[in-house]
Amino acid sequence: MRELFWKIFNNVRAVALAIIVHLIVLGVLVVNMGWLDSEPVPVSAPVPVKARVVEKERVEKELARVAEDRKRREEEKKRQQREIEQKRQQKEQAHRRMVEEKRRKEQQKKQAEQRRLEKKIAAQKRRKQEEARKQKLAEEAEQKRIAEERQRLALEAEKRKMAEERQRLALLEAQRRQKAAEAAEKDMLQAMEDEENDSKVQEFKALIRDDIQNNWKIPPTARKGMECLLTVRLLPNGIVQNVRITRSSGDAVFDRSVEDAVHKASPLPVSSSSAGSRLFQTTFREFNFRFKPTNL
Amino acid sequence: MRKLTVVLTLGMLLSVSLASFASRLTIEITQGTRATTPVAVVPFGWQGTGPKPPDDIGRIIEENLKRSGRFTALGRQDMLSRPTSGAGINFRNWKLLNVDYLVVGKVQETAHDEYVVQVQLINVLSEKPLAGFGYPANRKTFRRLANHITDVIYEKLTGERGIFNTRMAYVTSTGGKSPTYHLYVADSDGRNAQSIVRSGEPMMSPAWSPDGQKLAYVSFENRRSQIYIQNILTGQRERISGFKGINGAPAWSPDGRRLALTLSHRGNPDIYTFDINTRSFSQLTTNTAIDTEPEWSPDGSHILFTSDRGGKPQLYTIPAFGGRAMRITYEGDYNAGGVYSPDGKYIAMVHGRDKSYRIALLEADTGHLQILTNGILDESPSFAPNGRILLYATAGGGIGVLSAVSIDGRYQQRLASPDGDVREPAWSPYNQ
Repeated sequence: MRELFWKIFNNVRAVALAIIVHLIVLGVLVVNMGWLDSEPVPVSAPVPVKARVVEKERVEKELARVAEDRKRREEEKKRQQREIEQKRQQKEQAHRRMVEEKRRKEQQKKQAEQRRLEKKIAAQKRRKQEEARKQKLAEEAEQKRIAEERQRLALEAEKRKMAEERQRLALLEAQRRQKAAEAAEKDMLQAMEDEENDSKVQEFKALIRDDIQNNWKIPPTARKGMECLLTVRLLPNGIVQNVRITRSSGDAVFDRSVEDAVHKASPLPVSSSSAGSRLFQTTFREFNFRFKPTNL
Repeated sequence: MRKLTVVLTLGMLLSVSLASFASRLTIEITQGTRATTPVAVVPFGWQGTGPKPPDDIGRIIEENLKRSGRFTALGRQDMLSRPTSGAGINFRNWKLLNVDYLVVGKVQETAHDEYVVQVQLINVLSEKPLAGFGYPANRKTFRRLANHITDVIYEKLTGERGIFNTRMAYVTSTGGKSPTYHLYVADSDGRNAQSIVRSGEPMMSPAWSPDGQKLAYVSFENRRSQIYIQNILTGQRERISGFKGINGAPAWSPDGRRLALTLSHRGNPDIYTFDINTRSFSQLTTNTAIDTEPEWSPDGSHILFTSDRGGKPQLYTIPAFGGRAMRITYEGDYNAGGVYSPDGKYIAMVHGRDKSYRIALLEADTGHLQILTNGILDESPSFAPNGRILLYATAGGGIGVLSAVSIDGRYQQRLASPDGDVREPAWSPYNQ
């Protein structure tokens, strides 16, 4: 059975091969015949294989021609593609050149602007320097003028002062001469008055001393050699206005006791006499006490 | 140029001012008076709602100042105003009343039995405040505070230390046939007396130790004389001498290490010294007469005593470690019980003349004797520690009372003391 199947199958295979070869030949024919061009060719009527073998030579020729033809067409196609590529490249190059040109022009414009600005700044600077120089010159001139003026004034002042000094000395000398003359005349009168004043001073001194000694309570701390000086200021009626210790005894109680004595004796007897205010002014407005106990 | 002118001008001004004292009239004052200083102690003000203070502080200060002999005080009835602080003082009025210094103050109650005492001392003559202070107090401390305030015022005004916060010791006897004897310690004005020994037998001659903490005294409590030293605060005491015969008149040396005393166990009363540390006696006088009442000189070099070796009692001195005795009193028939003033310048004694016995003061340098009191039986003089006042007992009215006299004799005062016959007062040293 199997054998049979293989016999049939081998026969079928041979038949099929024959059919395929016919189909190929037919296909080539259809393609190479112009008139068939795009019209499908019916294959329903196969040519007997025997007929094809006969025409082998012609077919081979035809096949070579077809191959040649195809090769030629491919080359043509490649050539066309090269051309297209070339054109694209050219176009691209042209575009790049245009962009490059535009950039270059802009840069040139910028540089020109920069140069213009620099020029302008330099000009301004030069102008300022010139102005400063002029001002400095003017100031120097002014200072020189002031210094000269000052010197002139100083000189004038010095001259004036010397003149005044001469005048003052002259006046003093005149006054001195006059005073000397007056003094000579007054000496005698003054001597007489002094004598009178002196006795009055002594009288007042005695009165004041008595008053103070009666009012001075010698404190328990008093020791031999202790001494206290004070300055007293009186009002014209003898009232003690101010007591100031000018040299302390070194003992606070002793110092206070002498201050107390002066306060306690106030008013001091300076206004009772008719000696008047002149003696008061010269002698008793302000005078000193020296407290120094002798018998302790 | 300008600098030179300035220097010249300054120089001229300076020489003018230097010359001014010399060129002014100067009056020499060489004499003064020893008059007392008139003060006014204005009654203290009172601010409080509780009970008033138990003591009149102003009155105590006033009495203290008067007793010192240095001050006179304006009577309260003569005051025209009664300020309680230094503000708004009418100086003119006080001057018219012849007041030199014014003491004003007030007592403020701050809590129950808590007070603040404020005091101001004002110089009326110069119209300036001289001192001002405030102290806390309570009812128990008022009296002591018043004494302390007087001390401060006294020292400010005189430059001498005040003695108003010191104490005194004395002996009293009360009851007729079987008397009771007390040894008292009291404040310097005689108040606040505290009995420190009570005995049915006599006591004599209390003497303060230099630190003011102990008393030496003679007690007859064992029917014969014995000498004791007693600590005042603790009451602790020790017998230091109980020989046969007289054990009497103890006196402390200034350094507190020895006692001088009178002993008669060898037959005749003589002066001895007793070393408190070694408890040894050494005999100082060997005379056949009575030698008694020893007292140390302030420098401790000599001992002053009473002796009748000349026929009548007179005062003598002898070197403290032995030597020749020297008579120092010649006026009158009787000079006894001598004591040195703290500065050694004076000796106070009982001076008998015309049947009266008075306190007299001998000036050591000159030998000048001044009678200070006018009683008929004044005895036992004792100096205040500042030497300004003498305390003594006077038996004018039959029984002894305490009195004080300033050493210039100008101020005498009878002091408060407990009932009974008061004898032999002794003034304490300064409080330490």
